Amino acid sequence: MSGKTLAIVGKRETVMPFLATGARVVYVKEGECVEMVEKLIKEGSKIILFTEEFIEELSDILAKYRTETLPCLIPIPSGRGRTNIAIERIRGVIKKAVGADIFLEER
Amino acid sequence: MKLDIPPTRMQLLYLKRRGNVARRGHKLLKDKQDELMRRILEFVYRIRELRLRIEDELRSAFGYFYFASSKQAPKATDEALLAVTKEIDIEYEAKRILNLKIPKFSKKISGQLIGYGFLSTSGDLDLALMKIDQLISRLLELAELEKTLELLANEIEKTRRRVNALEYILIPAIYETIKFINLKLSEIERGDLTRLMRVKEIVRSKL
Repeated sequence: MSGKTLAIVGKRETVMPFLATGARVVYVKEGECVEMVEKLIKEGSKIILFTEEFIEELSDILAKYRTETLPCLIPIPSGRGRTNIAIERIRGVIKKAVGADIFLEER
Repeated sequence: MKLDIPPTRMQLLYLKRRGNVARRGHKLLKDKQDELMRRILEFVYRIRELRLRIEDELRSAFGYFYFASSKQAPKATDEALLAVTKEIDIEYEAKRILNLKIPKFSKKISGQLIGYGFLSTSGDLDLALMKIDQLISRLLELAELEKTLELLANEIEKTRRRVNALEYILIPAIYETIKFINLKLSEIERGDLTRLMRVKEIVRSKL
């Protein structure tokens, strides 16, 4: 499966520029993201990048594949200012593992 | 909390052996936990920096992109993007850290980035696409690191539970039971001894 192991999922206007990377770019709207990601995983995508706004929607899938090596589901910023959702996610992961909030802000 | 085990000498020996194994296992797991913790701390800072940097770069790339698409004809951007012939292929390798499978990605790129004419598109589009193109290897790195972090965190959680179960439940229970069996055995011994003395006395008085 050449060229399709990296997929980028998001709203049309946000992920369109990623066509330049040669990755598989999939446009979704709210509510259809889960289905799409499941389909991509089934088709053998190893890395799926999705924009931060879908993180809530995908939380079930994220939890499901948390302990697997593949696929790699990573939120990327949507380019509309900083939302910190992704950073918060990592913070949560670490807090749960270590038992303390070590992901301190430097502000 | 005492284990439900009959107080015999056999069981005492068995328990002592089990106690030793549990203590050794506990030490091993504790070491593993410390090592995992050390690694995760390394990753945390790397991920943080990388993510912030990617966010900034992505924002500026998007800026160029929107600027470009607003300057040119609405369909021109779509057309230009359709003409990109680049293909990216991800090679996947599994690395092992403490027997955890960690993904390692490398990319293979073929084809051309700019396959459109320069006439109908603005220069900003070239810039935006080039920036995003450069960003992809960082994104791959981020994907790798974040997955590693997740896997490590998960492993720490598991290890911590095991360490705690050994430290606070199993090992104390074993030692308590050993103590109990020891007391019980000496109690039986004392009972035997007094009974013997008593019998001896009775026998002697009848002579």
